[in-house]
Amino acid sequence: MSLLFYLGLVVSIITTSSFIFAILGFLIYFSLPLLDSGNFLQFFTLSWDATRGLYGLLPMIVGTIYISLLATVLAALSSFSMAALIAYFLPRKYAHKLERILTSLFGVPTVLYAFAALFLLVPLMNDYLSGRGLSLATASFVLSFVVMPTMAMILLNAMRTIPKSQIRALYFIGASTDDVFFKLVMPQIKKGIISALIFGFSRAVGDTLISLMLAGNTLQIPHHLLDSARTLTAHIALINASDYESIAFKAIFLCGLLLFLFTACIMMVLKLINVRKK
Amino acid sequence: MKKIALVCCLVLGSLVLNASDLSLFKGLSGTLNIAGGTAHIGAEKEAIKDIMMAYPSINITIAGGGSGVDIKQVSEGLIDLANAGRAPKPDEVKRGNLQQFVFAIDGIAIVVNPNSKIKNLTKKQLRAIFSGEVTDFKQLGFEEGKINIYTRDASSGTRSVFTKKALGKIKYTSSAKVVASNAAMKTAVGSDRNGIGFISLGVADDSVKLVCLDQKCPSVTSVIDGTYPVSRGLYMLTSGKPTPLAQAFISYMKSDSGAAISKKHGFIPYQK
Repeated sequence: MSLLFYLGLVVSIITTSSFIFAILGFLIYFSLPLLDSGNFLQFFTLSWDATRGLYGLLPMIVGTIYISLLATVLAALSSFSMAALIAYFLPRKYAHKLERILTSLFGVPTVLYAFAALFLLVPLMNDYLSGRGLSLATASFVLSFVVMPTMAMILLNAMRTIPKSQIRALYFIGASTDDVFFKLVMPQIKKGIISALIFGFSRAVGDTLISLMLAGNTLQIPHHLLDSARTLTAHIALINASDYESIAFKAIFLCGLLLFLFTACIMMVLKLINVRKK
Repeated sequence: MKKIALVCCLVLGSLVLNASDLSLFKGLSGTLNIAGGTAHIGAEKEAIKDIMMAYPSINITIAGGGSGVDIKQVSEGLIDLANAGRAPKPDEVKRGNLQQFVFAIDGIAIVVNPNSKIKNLTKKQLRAIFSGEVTDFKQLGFEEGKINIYTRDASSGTRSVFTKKALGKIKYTSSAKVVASNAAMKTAVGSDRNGIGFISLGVADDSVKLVCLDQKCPSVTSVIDGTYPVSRGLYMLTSGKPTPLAQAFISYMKSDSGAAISKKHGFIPYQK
């Protein structure tokens, strides 16, 4: 019986990892014509204008980084307070309810957030900020709602790893909840905070729909919070597929490869941090 | 009494008419997958509803995606019928062995927010706006307001026809915001006081305001008599000979019932 179990493990590991390598191989294979076309560096220039033969991906790369970073920061604030409230500060009864709400948030499809924002938030922003509704700020604000449950869960789990005996001991010598949280818990969950940030960031990088619907998709590098921007994922979704022999179409494989490398790098950092902490 | 009889006659008449057009699907069953231009969807959806109510064994699906994407999909055999808001390019026809059918004519209108005071724009002003030469409506002699330009992605048939017939050769400013469908254009411009974009006449409604181009205002009549220049055929494309079901659908869209539906959605039926 246990042999069967191990066999299943081995098979599943081989299939999942080969899938990932197959995707990577596929992306590299289709990016190759670009890589050896001689104008590879052109893809890392400032502007994209297919009609003039300019295929710079830099606006999209910068847009991706800005939107994901901002969303991660916003989500970090809300998820940290959420997790702290649930784990230490709320009475048990309310904490339990809040945790339920948090877990139910996992199941909300991202398109719902985008849709609600499109009809509630964007018109409001348009009115007060002279048409800056579809912007980096809107997209990252809404994206932070998507990222928040993931981060809050990781933080919550990290906060709960502190042994009950230590907490009780601290209470016994007259400490308040504040003391317990800031003097005992906080120093011990640094690793949890970092992994929550990194997981949140990679979740934000991967999202397509919110940036597609809310970020405005302009082809310029954003300089301001209220500028519009386009992410790599939205670019893939929008790209000119009318002529699939064109460089524009082939460039989306490079976008895919870049996204893959983005997330791979993030995972690598996570691994490195874990190793160093041990 | 006479009135009631007349109404009855009309209703019966239309039923008979409908039934005869729907008989195109007699004896057919199976699935027909349609995808493509977002302008077509409203009218075709209504036709599909009628067909599937009359013949439950027929299943028709429809999706958006933009004209370009679906010319590619139909060429590769992923879908049976592609909707295109522009004529396919010669090399696309050759690559996919495309057959073209036009069922209606559509105008493309410049749209602004309903609260905007702009009624007319000249081609020159339009070009200045979309190329980013002017950034404030004040520079064109209108009320002050930073111009927010909305355009469609490069795979949009609406955009390629609008660019060709209304703008001529221009370079879109890189600060133009890009939306993914005709409906998204309506939402974007409808919620932005200083927004300007373009849209299929069949999709436009009260949430946006249509602007005249060189004093020629977009409407069904002005598109028919040719005074409004920015118009296009609504194409349905198949790769090679259409399947029986696709052929029936094309014939239905070109029949009297299909023409009535096209008309209702603000298009001009094309039954030839």
